[in-house]
Amino acid sequence: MTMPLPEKNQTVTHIFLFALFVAVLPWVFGLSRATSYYTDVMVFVAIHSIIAAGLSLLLGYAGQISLGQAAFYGVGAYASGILTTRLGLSPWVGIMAGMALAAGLAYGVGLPALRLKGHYLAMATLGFGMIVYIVFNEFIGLTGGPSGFGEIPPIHFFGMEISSTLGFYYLVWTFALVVLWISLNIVHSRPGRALRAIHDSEKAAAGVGIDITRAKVQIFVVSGVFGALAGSLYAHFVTFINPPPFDIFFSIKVLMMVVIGGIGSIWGAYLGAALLTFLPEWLAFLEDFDVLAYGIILLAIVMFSPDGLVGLGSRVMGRIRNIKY
Amino acid sequence: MAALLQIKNLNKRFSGVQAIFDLSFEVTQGTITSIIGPNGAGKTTLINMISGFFRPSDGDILFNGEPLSGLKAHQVATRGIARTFQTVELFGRMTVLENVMLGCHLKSRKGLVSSAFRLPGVLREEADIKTRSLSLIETVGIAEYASMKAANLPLGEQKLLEVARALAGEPRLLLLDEPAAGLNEVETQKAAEMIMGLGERGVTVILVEHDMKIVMSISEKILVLNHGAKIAEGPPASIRRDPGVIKAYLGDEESYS
Ligand SMILES: Nc1ncnc2c1ncn2[C@@H]1O[C@H](COP(=O)(O)OP(=O)(O)O)[C@@H](O)[C@H]1O
Ligand SMILES: [Mg+2]
Repeated sequence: MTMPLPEKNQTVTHIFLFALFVAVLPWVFGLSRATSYYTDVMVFVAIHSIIAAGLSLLLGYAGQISLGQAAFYGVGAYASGILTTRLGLSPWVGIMAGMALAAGLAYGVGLPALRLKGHYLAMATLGFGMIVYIVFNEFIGLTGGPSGFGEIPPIHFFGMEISSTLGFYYLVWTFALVVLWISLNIVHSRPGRALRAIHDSEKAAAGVGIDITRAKVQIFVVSGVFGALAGSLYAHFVTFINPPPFDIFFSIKVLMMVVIGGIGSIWGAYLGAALLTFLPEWLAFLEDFDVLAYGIILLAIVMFSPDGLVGLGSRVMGRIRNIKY
Repeated sequence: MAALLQIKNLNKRFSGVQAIFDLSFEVTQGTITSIIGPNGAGKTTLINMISGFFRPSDGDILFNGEPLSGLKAHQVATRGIARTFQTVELFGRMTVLENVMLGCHLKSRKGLVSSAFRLPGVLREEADIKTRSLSLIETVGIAEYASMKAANLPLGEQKLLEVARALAGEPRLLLLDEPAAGLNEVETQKAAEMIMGLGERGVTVILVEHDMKIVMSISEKILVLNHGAKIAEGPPASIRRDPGVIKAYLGDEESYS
């Protein structure tokens, strides 16, 4: 499940090449009228990648499941939305506040659940997600309740207002690439190694002095912070929020992104986010049958490649290499 | 001089079984102490209590004069006590090198934030522990396997890897639970020499081992357990002659003497 570690500078090279690809993509999409709206879709791919990267760290490296990532996503979105519209604060303050609040909540939920051996975090986060969803719906004075609220202002970056889709595309992908870099750095260093060790043998990990609870709580906090960042970006892009995007189904969708992409691979989380964001667009022509096709495709991937798209990719590459020689 | 480790009236009861019964002994800094006894005598249970994996039912364990009571396993490790496991506990999907680098966990500092942002010093620390780990792998003689997944190692090398990983934390006290079990004669000899070398380097060792040849040749002191109780304690020469020990344990293994 764990990939061999690439050399550090190789990681940076890969991210750089990926950044170039992302940078030219909107111009390629722009060549045809039929694909120009893909830039919009790619904004969501970036947002989903950020939240999936956090869950990938938690699931693939700490071996813990969270069913409440949508709640952190919502916390980020509502913190940004409320602070900017009600108090007139800068979106950057909203983003920071959302991440700080998510960090505190993740700590509060994670500490008691992760002290225990087993998958208590899955249950705890399921409950947490439900509570947060109820808060979004019922605290109408603050959240606007089921009908939500709008007029969330755009982000300003060095005095520039980022309100066009293309501008937002570059902003959100900058975040997604920084999150990718951070996640890979964590994986390829002492704390990431400690997490993978816990995944392999908790006994041996404790024996070498790793504080298992602390390591798991830390990475859960990171996953919450990434979720909140994604939520804030969503709020400033869409400029209107109401509760449905932050329900349990979105938590499950993020979980699927990580699993479909390949558990134990951060790049896989980005691939999974891309697939699960584009797939509904591509299947829309099936109208009522789109959900069915969607389910069949995901099932097929999991059945034929339990290590996800990343595993499938590396097997295909292996085949191609064998043919050459 | 106060002993490095003091065990005082230690008891461990599992439901129905008294695994350790009113056990007291001391371990002097820089010595090799062996613990022997038949299967089920309570040797592993004792190691588990010293290393914080089990909580004693009664009694005290003092390390360097301070009680270890209430500390969790990872906290005990922080105090300078490392261990190996009777049934190998490696990080199976990680490489041999990574396993030893994890042994350096307490000897390195870089946390989540500095690692995440690659703050200055992170790469240097990584390089440092890599170098240290490689030299330890060499010390125990498994350098050729450095980039192999630990789970794919032959059993003998897995045992040696556990020792290398334990040493990486530069412990003051090292607990070895049957390090030679499953090794062939050549490997056993290599392991014995390595353990003796540790004693000479000032690491205090508690060794649980069935191979009497090793135990008799490298221990300063031997402690004999039977049904959780101490039945003899002393230097190899006196243990070999102890009638109670011969009756309870050595039996037909007298040929070793
Ligand atoms: N976790 C446990 N739960 C219940 N009984 C245990 C446990 N660990 C050991 N025992 C019992 O304690 C006794 C001593 O076992 P152990 O310490 O493994 O002996 P040794 O290492 O000397 O062979 C045995 O009777 C064993 O069954
Ligand atoms: Mg044992």
